[in-house]
Amino acid sequence: MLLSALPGPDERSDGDAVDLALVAAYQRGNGNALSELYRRHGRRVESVARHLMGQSSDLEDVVQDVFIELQKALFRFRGDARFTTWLHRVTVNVALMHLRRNRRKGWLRWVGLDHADEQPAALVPAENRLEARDMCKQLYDILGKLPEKKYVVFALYELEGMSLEEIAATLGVGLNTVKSRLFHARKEVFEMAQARGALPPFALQVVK
Amino acid sequence: MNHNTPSTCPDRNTWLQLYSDRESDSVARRAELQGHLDECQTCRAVVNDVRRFQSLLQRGKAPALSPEQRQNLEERVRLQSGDWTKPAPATPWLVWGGALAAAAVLSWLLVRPLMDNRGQPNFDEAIKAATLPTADNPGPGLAVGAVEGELQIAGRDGHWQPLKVGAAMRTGERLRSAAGGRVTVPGRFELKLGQESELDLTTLHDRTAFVRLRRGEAECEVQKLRPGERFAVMFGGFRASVIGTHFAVRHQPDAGGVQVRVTEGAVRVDAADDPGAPLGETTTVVRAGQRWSHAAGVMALEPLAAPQQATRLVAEPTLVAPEAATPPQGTEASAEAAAAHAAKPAQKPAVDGNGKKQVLIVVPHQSMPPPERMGNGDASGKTKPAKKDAE
Repeated sequence: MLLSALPGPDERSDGDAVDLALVAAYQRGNGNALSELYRRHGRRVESVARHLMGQSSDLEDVVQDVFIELQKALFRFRGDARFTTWLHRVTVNVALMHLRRNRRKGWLRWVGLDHADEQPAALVPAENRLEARDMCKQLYDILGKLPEKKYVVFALYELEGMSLEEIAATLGVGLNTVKSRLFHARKEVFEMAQARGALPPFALQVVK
Repeated sequence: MNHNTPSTCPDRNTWLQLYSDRESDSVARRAELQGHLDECQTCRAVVNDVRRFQSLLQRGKAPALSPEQRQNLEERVRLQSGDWTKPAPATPWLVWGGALAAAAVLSWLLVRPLMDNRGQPNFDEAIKAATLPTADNPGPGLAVGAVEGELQIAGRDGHWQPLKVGAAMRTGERLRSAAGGRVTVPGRFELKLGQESELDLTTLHDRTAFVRLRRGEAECEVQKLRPGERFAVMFGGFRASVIGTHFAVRHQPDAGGVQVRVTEGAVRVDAADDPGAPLGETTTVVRAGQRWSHAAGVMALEPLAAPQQATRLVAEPTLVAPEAATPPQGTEASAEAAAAHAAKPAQKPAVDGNGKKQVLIVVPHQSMPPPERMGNGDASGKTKPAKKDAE
């Protein structure tokens, strides 16, 4: 399965109520509530951060920073959005902060692709693995050049697997804005990839 | 046919959208265009590109965290969310008495800078305090000052090598010994591993030392903790945290009960499998002269029988048979009550020349042997590597 599934307790109908209760408990001074929120949503935060951060050794730090940020931010949460939406927003903000820092340091999204061989190589014949690595690297280099707003939408949709509506809610922008950013992001990345030959027709025979 | 009249073909961006989207209208439209795709070679080439594009995107995704990283992360989050967002519970302080009043002051001094004037956490300080090393980013680790006996260390690659003086022990590494050995980190602690013992160095940095005993036995002598320092040992679902002093642990996994004996100072025990977890509801403060045990679902806190020596680690602890355990179980209140009237600092934590206090925690995990086979505390003073009393 290519798209991230995010099964979480909050997908039950009462999940939101549980989250609200935990937030309220935290606001009343119960530090354990934050741990419980982590247990419920840590994987979700990790997933969102991972797909925004790309190949980054910062992932653990980002996830922890999200929960550090929550300590302060939970006092501001008033329940006017779903907790998970709000958590996505905090996660995106923290991840972007790290990304900006990394970009300033000459950030390279791509470190290696060793793990990629463990993923199903549906369209890539074995003899093309090395080429595939190169192409992957090029593609992610291109991604790293996208303007931030387009990049975030692209990463959340294509890599994290969020729905357009979720992205709109997370970023606090309209649905059409999301669609437009996604359209342009895809177009730019795809065109650049084609122009750089990052999509050579080695797999032509695979697709009927 | 259609490839002969490409002007009627959907353009590249349309294909890009249709074959990237998960939206239902795109999916439906894709199905409608399948016939065209079967016919049109030009469009098929575009779609091939889109599919490769998607395939490469998905293949290049960053890997998820490993279970170890997640565990470490959970510890870090709990560490930050727990004790230091608010002062430690006040009740234990009432029974610690004057001996620990100074510690209370220190705690207050520690906690205070972490709060702003509205009593909310001060996050800059907090972030600094909570930034712990991880297995991926272990930091400089702690330098080994002395090694006795036979000890091996392994990094994440699982390659075991002898632990040498001057080497560093880092977060995420493991320590083991077949015949027993001791390592000293000057100014911090000594870890002594018994035979066939192994422990994880869960978190090691200049203020925090969390270790998890996998098997065998370990004695930890911890230098008096400075403000902000922590030392905890995880064993078989429990956590023993030093309260500002010096202690030793022994643990033999497998089955049976666990026990903590404290001869000096104090140790907090709670049912937490996580060194950074906030205080559990069943936190028990085990004071000098007390024995805590948990066996067959019964938790007991009772006075130690033998008089304690204010010397080094006491060897050969006795083990409480589960049926003999008086059950004040679990609640903090009852544990504290027991603590209060059990051994009020009868033996005032003696401080040796180095400002060390000593505590002995013993946690035999062998399948509970009958009481008569237990060694009786010989309290002979000098450190003995806490032999398996069940043998």
